Amino acid sequence: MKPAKRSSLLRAVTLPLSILLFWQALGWIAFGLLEPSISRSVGSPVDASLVLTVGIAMAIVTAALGLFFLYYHATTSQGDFVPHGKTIHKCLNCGHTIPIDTSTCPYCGSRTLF
Amino acid sequence: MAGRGSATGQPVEPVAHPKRAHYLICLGMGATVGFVAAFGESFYGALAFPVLIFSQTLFPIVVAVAVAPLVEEPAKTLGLLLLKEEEKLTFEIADWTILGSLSGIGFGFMENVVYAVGVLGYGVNVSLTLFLMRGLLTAPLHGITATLTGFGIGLWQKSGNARLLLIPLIAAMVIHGSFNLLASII
Repeated sequence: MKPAKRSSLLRAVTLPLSILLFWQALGWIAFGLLEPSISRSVGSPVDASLVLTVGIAMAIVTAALGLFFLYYHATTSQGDFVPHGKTIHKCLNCGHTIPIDTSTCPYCGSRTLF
Repeated sequence: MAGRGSATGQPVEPVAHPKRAHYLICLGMGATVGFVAAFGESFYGALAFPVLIFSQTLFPIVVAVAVAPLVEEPAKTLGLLLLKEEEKLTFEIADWTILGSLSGIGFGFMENVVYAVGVLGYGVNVSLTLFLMRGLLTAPLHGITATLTGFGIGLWQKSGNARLLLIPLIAAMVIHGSFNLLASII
């Protein structure tokens, strides 16, 4: 039996964030390549090699973050907001938290709740 | 509108997912705020006025790093607040994050249009290059920060506790401020 994915509330942001981060990684490369020419044209030249280095470094960091969020999205299931103080079940089979009015675990179908 | 009580007083089924109009409202509101924010210094630059007393060089940096994120991040999500507070719509947290992303992208797009038009004096090539570069670099940045704020609005709706919006909103401001600081340093 395939193990159940860990439930996480933060999963809601991971897919849009990963897409936007990959998009921005392209932007950092564009920054490294285009910024020197734009700055030269408007009369305030910048250090082209520094800009390119920063652009490439930031592109790597941004793409790595995007990959991390993508991995997080793939390895978790969407958790729901559980307010403090509200009684909840915990599934003995998969470990997910489930609202008190549920008798069967919606994640794995188990009836062994506590 | 769906999601509110009907005219006869009968409750209407809550909206499960946003409709196309909701996405467009967020994109459009984001773009409208982005248009206004592109003229930022004229509107909220005055907030950093005391810095001018100490240093003239520091003034634009303080505006970009501290004042702009403080003003722009909450303003960017006006469309989401309109849907939540005015229309009383209820969505899943993941839907609020998508609405936030669109709002931020709309914001970034319109801001870039204004900046690109602003440098037309240097030539069409410079203007188009700036638009392309900023479209790839800052439009997703605004999307990222607005996604976080959208997540906060989702938490607020689910919990009924507006304070839960604060953490993602502050995180969004810090990310925006850090990006502007890096841009100022380079």
